[in-house]
Amino acid sequence: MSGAKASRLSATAIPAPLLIGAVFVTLMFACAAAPGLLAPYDPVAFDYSALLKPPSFAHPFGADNFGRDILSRTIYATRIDCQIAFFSTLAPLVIGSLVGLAAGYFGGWLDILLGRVIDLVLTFPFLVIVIAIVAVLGPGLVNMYVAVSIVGWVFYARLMRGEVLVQKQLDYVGAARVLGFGSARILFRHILPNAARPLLVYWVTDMALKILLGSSLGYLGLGAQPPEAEWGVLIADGKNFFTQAWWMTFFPGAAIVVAGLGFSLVGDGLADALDVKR
Amino acid sequence: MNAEFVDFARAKGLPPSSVLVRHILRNAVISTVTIVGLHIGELLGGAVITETVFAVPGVGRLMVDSIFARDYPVIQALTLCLALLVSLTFLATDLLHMALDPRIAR
Repeated sequence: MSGAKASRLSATAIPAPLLIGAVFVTLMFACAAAPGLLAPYDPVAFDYSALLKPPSFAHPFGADNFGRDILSRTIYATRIDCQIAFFSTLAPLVIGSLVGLAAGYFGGWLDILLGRVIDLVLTFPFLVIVIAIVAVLGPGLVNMYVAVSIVGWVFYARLMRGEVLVQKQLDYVGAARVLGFGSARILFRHILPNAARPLLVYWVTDMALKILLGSSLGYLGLGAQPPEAEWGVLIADGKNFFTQAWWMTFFPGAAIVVAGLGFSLVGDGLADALDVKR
Repeated sequence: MNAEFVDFARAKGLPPSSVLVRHILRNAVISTVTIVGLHIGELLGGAVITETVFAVPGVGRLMVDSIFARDYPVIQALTLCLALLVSLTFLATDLLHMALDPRIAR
């Protein structure tokens, strides 16, 4: 009897990976929302008595070559990395969904055009084309969002198109059409809610990828600009002191891992919970 | 492993190694080839980071350096070259597919 109870409990409980991922993501949002409350020091305050201090009680993650507290900088960096996760995926999600909806539903030349654009974008390695666009626009966070959006919407459009092609064949769409509903109403009120789930899952997973991308570009000096604290920038700062001060690169790197892992776990958990086949 | 052609190959009395390599591997490797082809692009993109981190004087490093030097023709050329390389990889995987499974060639 107790066994049946336990199995029922485990069936309704939130799966462990989703829970762990949610904890990581919540932690990240907390750091992003109130860095001032959590960080023990000012992230840009120089302290010449603490130059390159190893981790201690005063500086749990150590201090960098200007005596800035790594823990505080890592916490403040969360804010920018959350921004990156959100803003570099929002425009692709919206634009890609709309284009994918239209191409999948209307077909014809629009679909052919989208197919060609997808082929074209897939030909360029993602990072290479993003870096090339950033190079033209100039380094900086906003230009990075623009560059990622120019390329990134294609993947959402492809996913949405495939989903719409499936949904369009189902009976409820035919029923809606028989009732005399217009294309816009069928697309947004009927097909979109049914086709959105894989996109939402991809969106969360994509946030993890975009945090990695943002850190990579920050590291190269093409994303967030110093002295702005961003994990990739922090790692780039620590690169020159790697043999003396491993903590300068280790802790921001660990933060990237935790954030990426969190978003990936949430994405996977959502995929399971929403029953999305991948 | 559970497909009928495997049972048939075994029933013909072929040694397990021959069944595994000539019959199973040939069919199983097709999807692997696809994945490898798709990942080449990611790897080339990743090379930009890797080469900067480890100071390897490669294409990726050249790209980052020319961005900071505002050397746009070099960036254009590198982007195009890498895109060409990826296209050729896709072509190679497609040809490999046809070699592995003549049904795809039709």
